[in-house]
Amino acid sequence: MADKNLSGLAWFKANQSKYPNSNKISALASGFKTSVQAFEKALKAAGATIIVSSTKRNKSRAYIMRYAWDVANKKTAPDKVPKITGVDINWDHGDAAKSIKAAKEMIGSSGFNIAYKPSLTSRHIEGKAIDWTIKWNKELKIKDKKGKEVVIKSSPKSGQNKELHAVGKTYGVVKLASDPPHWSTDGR
Amino acid sequence: MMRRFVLVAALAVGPTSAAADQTTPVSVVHINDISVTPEQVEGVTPVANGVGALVLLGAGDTPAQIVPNLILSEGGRFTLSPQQAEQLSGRVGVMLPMHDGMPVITLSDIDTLDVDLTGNGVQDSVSFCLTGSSAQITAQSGTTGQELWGHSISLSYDVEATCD
Repeated sequence: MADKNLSGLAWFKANQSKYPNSNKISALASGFKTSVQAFEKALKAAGATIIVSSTKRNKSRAYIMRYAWDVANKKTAPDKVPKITGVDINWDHGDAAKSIKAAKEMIGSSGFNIAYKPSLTSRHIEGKAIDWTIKWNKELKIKDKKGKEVVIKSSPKSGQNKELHAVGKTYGVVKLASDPPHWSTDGR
Repeated sequence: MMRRFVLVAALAVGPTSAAADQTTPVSVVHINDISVTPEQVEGVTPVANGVGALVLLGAGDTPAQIVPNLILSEGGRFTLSPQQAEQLSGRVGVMLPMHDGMPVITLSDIDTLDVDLTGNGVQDSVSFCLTGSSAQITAQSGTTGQELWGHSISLSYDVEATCD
């Protein structure tokens, strides 16, 4: 009888939705969630437009992506992939070529569509990061955490604005300058 | 620390012209499908229809790769073969036009492309790296060392960072 837990595109299609990422602020870790909610409230009160694209990412999903990538790129032998609770997947097809082909299917265009080595750890996985697009017109009059009004007239009129980064920091929401939508507890 | 590779893959396409009198059009590409629509880089002339070379810069364990002779339609759009799409799935790169006067493309490292972008006869560099969950492409003047342009693409998953 076929092993329904064998890795591959069929496993991906049947199981990947069990490990969803979130784009809800409510999914963030408690302390950071409070900080983001306060900053979001100030942004909205100032008239900024906000679109959240990613908050907490699923740890099990990251594990599946990483080991699919590792097996596909011959970085980890299929029989050496560590098991984690809650993910029933058998990476070892009993044949190296078949195992690698199955892993490649999972990272390919019909699967996760990933090319670069996924990380097992990140601020997103910890629930301590948010990716969001922030925009406004003209100037932004926003209150920092202490209630002091800051008038931002400089450009860009987006989440890339350095004056906004300073305001975000007062709320404990810190910008990673090199990654346009990314803010976290410590800018990483 | 990023591992250093020495990969020299010079691709001379058509008559080389180090002293071209026009800037080289560039588009950034994220392979998500067989049909690919390049992203326009702010302040940079995008590639148009014609023939293009796709330069996929590398990071970490992912090697650099050049895919020449892609037929570009309106807006620089192009279609990969199913095999190419599967092999290149998720990759980020730059599209350069292949026509008379195109300068030599040199990959001096897996994450660095040398090409004359400004048309002054001096090779500029285009570098690639990964932050926590995005790909960064930065062009730097070979003459002044100043940044010519930068572009970021969100990958929607966390990766092993390679940016300094």
